[in-house]
Amino acid sequence: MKFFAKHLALASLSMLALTGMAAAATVTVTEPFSRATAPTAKVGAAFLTLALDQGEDKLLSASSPVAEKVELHNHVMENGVAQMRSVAAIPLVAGTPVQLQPGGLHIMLIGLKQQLKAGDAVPLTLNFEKAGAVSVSVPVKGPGARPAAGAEQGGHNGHQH
Amino acid sequence: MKRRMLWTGIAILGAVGFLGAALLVADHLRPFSQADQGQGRADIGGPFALTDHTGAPITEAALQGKVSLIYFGYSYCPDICPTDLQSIGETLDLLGNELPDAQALFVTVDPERDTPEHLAGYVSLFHPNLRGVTGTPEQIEAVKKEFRVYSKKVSAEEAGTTEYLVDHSAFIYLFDRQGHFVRVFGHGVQAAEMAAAMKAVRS
Repeated sequence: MKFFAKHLALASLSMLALTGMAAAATVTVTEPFSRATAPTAKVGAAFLTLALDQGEDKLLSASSPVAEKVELHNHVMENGVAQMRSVAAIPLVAGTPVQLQPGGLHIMLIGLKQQLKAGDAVPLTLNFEKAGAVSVSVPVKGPGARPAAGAEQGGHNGHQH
Repeated sequence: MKRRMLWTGIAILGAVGFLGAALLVADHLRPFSQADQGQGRADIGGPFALTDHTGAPITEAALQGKVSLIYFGYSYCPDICPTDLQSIGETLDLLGNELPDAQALFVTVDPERDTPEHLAGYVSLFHPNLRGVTGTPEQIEAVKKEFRVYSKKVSAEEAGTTEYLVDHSAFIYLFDRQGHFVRVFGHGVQAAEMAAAMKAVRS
């Protein structure tokens, strides 16, 4: 019995250590923004910068109460032709922030349930392979808003799970 | 010695021929190349019969007496088009009273989704002097051809998305007061550059 208890304690300790390690990797979301849409627009977009403090992770999907569906997209310019396609996941490696910004990777809000107006904020949940769900409040800016200067230097409005 | 010269000559001729063919093919394949930007290509533009965002008819006569920026895109586009339309709006703001006859047109390459009503809500987001332009798919095809605009519908299956998308060339055209093509700007151009070019239009 004593033997069993000792092992149980050890097992619990290692479990704690494991969960502790798993929780140590955090995703930081900075400079999120969306763009104001037309009253009849069915789509909108969200842009932000993702950073990971250690290891690797993947952004697998996202969801928002303002849209029926949220997709991960990429825009590629080839000989002046803009080509938008969906991407299955956005890989993340510690030390290399990934910028989702106009003209590149972005989060597409499809089937908008409401007009996005400048000054509003859109709740967005990002689902990562390891970090799980990360919630972020995305402020809606002007219709052609660009990323804030120095967005890659990191902001302070990230929300970790 | 003579033979060597002959071979050299053949090699040079061959190389010139190959280069020429390659250039011809490249010119045909690409909607525009860097070299086209900045220099006049008078074969861009022509008569058109379309509908603006208020439902009113619009033809090439709308270019007469105005310095115009013309941009082709679609409102479903979340990032490329809004960025360029923002720059166009900023350009019109920069010109202000200096160039009262400045105007900008946004011609859709997605007439199925971009109805006049929808465009009305869209263009007004960017600038009050930005006119949205749409038409029947046939009318849009015709104007695209005249303005050498490339666009291609990509099915939802092909793009891996919920709804169809449209690949499109992202160039901003500058036209003078006679409705003649002056030059083209690439995606990402700054408002100050376009404003300066518009002010420099003489006629």
